[in-house]
Amino acid sequence: MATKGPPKLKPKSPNQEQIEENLGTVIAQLTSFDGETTGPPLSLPAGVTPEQLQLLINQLLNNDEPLPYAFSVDGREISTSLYKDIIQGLQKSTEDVLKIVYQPQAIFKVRAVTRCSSTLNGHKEPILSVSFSPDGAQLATGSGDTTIRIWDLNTETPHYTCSGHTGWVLYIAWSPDAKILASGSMDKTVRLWDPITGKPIGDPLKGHTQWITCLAWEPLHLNLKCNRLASSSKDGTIRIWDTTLRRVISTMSQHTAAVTCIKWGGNGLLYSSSRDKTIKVWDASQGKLVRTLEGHGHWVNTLALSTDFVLRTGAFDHTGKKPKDENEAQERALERYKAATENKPERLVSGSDDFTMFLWVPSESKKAIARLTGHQKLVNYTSFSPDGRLFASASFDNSVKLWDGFTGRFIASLRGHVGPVYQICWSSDSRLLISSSKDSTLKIWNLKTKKIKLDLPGHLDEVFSVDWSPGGDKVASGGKDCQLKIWRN
Amino acid sequence: MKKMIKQHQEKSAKQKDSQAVPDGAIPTYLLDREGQQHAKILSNMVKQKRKEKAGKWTVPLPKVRGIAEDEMFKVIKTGKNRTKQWKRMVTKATFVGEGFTRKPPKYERFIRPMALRYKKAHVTHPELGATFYLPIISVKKNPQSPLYTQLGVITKGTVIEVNVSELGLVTTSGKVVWGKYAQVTNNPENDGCINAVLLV
Repeated sequence: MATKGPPKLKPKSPNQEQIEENLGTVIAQLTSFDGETTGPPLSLPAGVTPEQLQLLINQLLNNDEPLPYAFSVDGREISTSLYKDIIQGLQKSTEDVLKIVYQPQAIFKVRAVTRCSSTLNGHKEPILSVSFSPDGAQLATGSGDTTIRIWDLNTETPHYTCSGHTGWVLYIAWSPDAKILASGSMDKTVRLWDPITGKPIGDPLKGHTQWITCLAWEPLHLNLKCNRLASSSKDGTIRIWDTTLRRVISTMSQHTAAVTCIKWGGNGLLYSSSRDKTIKVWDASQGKLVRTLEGHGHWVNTLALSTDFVLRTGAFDHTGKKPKDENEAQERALERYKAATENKPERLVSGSDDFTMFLWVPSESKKAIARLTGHQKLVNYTSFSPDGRLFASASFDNSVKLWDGFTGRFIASLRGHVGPVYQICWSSDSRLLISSSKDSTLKIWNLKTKKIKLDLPGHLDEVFSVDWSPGGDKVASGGKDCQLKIWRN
Repeated sequence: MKKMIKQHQEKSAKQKDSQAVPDGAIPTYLLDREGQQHAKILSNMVKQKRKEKAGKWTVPLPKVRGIAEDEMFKVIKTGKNRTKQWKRMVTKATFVGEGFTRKPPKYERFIRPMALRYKKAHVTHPELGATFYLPIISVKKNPQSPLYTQLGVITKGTVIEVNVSELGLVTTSGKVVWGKYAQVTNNPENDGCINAVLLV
């Protein structure tokens, strides 16, 4: 006969409310993200929730209107209560002084898109790139049928068909003042379009000897006329064009293989990633090489700047106010840029075919802050959140991974796609993320819970490109099924 | 003259349209990755083939009892003094094709008795759980020996091809399936009928 062990003691399970009451107190010090302390160390009930902390911090900071904040201890966010997430989750002693870091959140909220409001036919070949204008009022798509279409967003109907290219339109980019649309094509030329009339502005800009891979406009706060455009090509060169004089200002040709991605930073630097495994930082005004960032072991596919969103939207913000003239627009853009960076240098993240990413501060050093591993296939796309605190990476291993934008610490893996993830896009309040995949679906991820929020099926084939309007009310996606879909909440 | 011929040739030759835009546009991040995809397809194909080879043998009855030749065939004595022993009679059930004509009896080595010939089999569809009485088209494989396959001998474990047109099965491309393989599950020579399971 087997001997019986002692009877198991039933764990005491008083009501949840009782626990909350009996937790006692914790000494906590609230600090801003920069490390400055706010107020004296406080004795808080251990079961304190983020909502209660929010009330407290708004009082401490003497805010006129209550602002939303996120709280974290040692990088772990408090989502339910201090006790559950920190003391139980991180096994912190209740006797130490907890340093609670608060970070302001966007004061507006973007509602997740839930339904497809229209499916627009028109393109005869796959749609390769979709882009909302910086003010969110216009939408353009570039397609394999050599045309660019500009769509009317109010009625969700086609507006203009811009034909002129003789090859696939690979990339389109809006100027920061939303007055010019630039397109790069397989036919080795860059063309400029007037989105108001749908007419081309002059002839194609010729010069590259291979197809155009990426375009980048100079940010509005550096140049109020918005007349400088950089284009990168498979031939390994980057050309900076003056769009009013229609000629090349400078040509940078130190890359030894195809340039895959370029970004124009907010402090006059131009970043380029290449298939020669390097990232180069250029002084855009003189066309000089500033430094070369080395570290990747294979093609570098993508770049993302922490200020991408603010540079893209320029003078336009969530309030929807239009600046009166160029000078005011530039002032506003500069203001927004300064508010976004808080006088800290821009951070750059690069994703590569060697399955890793690097986080750099390219304006200061050529040493990386962190090397981020975890993906099991190549990283195709990276994107910083509009507030610059997080970034997400899309990989061909069917996952999207979420990382801390300052340290590069891994936060979460968002799984759900059953095919390679092609592109991702953040909502402007940094609370949601949309991803497009080869499995013909779009998925919206909730970044508070780090879980899938919505699955948006509907496309008949691979979804090549997705864009969330800067205002946050619409998402547009296009892919191999030649249809443009507009999604709304 | 040469020049003229060349001109004519040029006229008739189809000019490649330099303005034509190739189909199948892909975004920049997928350009130059076709090679990898081809490699992937190739390796997938190899894997698939290996799987298929292995899958050929995953049938409902993977193992059968071996049947010796003296059980399978009865020796028939011929000749005036019954001394010649080169004729054989098959003692198992057989399937004989429709248009079969016997060889002249003088030269016929293998005799397939009429009593043991079958034209139809009871075929069970394993997923539907229903049984149909279907005409046999051919003997695909007798696991005992290729000779038996040739002779159309049906023993336990033999894979036969049956006519499933009345079942109304449809391929993925929408065509009606006509013949399908089935494996014999009983000993037809003992039972007097053929029971089989459809291989799906």
